[in-house]
Amino acid sequence: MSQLGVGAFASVLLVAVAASAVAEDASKLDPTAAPIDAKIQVSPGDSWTYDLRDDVTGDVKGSVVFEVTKAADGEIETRTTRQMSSTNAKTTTVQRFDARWRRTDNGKYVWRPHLDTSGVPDALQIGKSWSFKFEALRKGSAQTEEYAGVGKVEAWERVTLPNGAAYDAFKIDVADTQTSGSGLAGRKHENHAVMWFAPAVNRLVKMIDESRDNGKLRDATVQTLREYKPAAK
Amino acid sequence: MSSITRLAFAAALALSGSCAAFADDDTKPNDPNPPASVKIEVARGDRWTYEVRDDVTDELKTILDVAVTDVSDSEIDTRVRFTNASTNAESTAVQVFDPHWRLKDSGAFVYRPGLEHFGIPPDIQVGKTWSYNFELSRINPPGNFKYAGKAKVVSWERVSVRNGLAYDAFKIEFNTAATPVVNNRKFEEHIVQWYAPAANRYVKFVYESRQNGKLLESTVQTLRDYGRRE
Repeated sequence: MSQLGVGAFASVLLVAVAASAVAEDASKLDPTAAPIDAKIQVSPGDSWTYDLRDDVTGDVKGSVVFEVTKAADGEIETRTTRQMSSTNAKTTTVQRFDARWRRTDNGKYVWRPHLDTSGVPDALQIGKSWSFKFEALRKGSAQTEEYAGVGKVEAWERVTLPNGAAYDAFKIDVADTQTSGSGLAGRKHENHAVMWFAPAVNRLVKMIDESRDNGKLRDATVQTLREYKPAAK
Repeated sequence: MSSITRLAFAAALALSGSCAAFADDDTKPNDPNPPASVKIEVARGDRWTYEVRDDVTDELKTILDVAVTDVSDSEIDTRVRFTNASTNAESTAVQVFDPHWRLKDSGAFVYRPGLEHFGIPPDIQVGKTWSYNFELSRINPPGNFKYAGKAKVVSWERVSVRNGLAYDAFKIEFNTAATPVVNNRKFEEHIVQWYAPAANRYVKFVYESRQNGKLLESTVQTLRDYGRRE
């Protein structure tokens, strides 16, 4: 087999393996139909409402709404309202993101340069992989936590949500590990997020994220888009 | 506050309920015969939600939610979520138990062989008595503390919890003391636990700690909800 042949075979194998791992509610699309370097276009007034489900118990956990209050100078600022089912308590915070929806500030923490497990990489295309580092600083504390991780744009696929809506979306897999900082104390903290970004709604339509301490599951949440409302023109 | 006192306070806050006020309702069990053997059957997604009250003031302090994330022959792994009742602030931790719910690792503390009073003996039966020792290792800053205690399964009775729920349960009493006594401060804990086989976990947990005989901490955990993932 020529080198080209071996490469092609390996690619086919990789695609086949990836395809077998697609969630039941997602189906592969022609990768050549994926948009090249999808732009994210948001305006003040755009809003996204997500349902949150506890992926350990399957229970409904609550909802979160992101409403754009400002989009300029490479930054998206939102009013974020979170309502928890257990207490019905509603909390509203200002959250800031870069232009690719990577969180930079949630009111409690600041991420420098940004939190990769919350948004979309630059130059989005299938097969893109990258490594990253960021630090998290808890406001009012002098201590920082440092993280390192890797990400990959796995596929272009159709994802169907619990409300019946279906979107063509990039599937993005991102994982990081805490490398230094408070609370580590010889333990390993890891985060893993699988996100589906749909250019049609300029944001994620689904995200599964989990965190682990020393390999043991600490938390797991599934976030699915319930409603997208662009600002009235 | 001494190290031991702080540890006790943290332990009580982490997983506790208060003492007193077990109204002397009808404690006659629905089934007069306790099970001859108890098998703890848990699976990923099982969860127990408790109210944690300060037994001195009766103030609701915390909602404690315990969910099983993994089960093996040697461990029950859980995610424990604490919701502050006044601020709604949430925090989570991984807690690891042995197959009989004795706490091995709370994230902040490691217990060897296990923290006796959260669990049950494998051969539980009314009248059983036993003694135990365990060592607590604090992870940060590092520290080691030794405890010794005695326990007894005192009865099989009906216990009412929250939301109108009631269970037939083993009532187990634990008396634990830090050893040796440090700085002339004697630290003791008294725990009463009601373990309900139908819920596969305790449904009520009363915790009291004393320093030199004076009440330090007193909390009551009462089950509000128990569910299994469908």
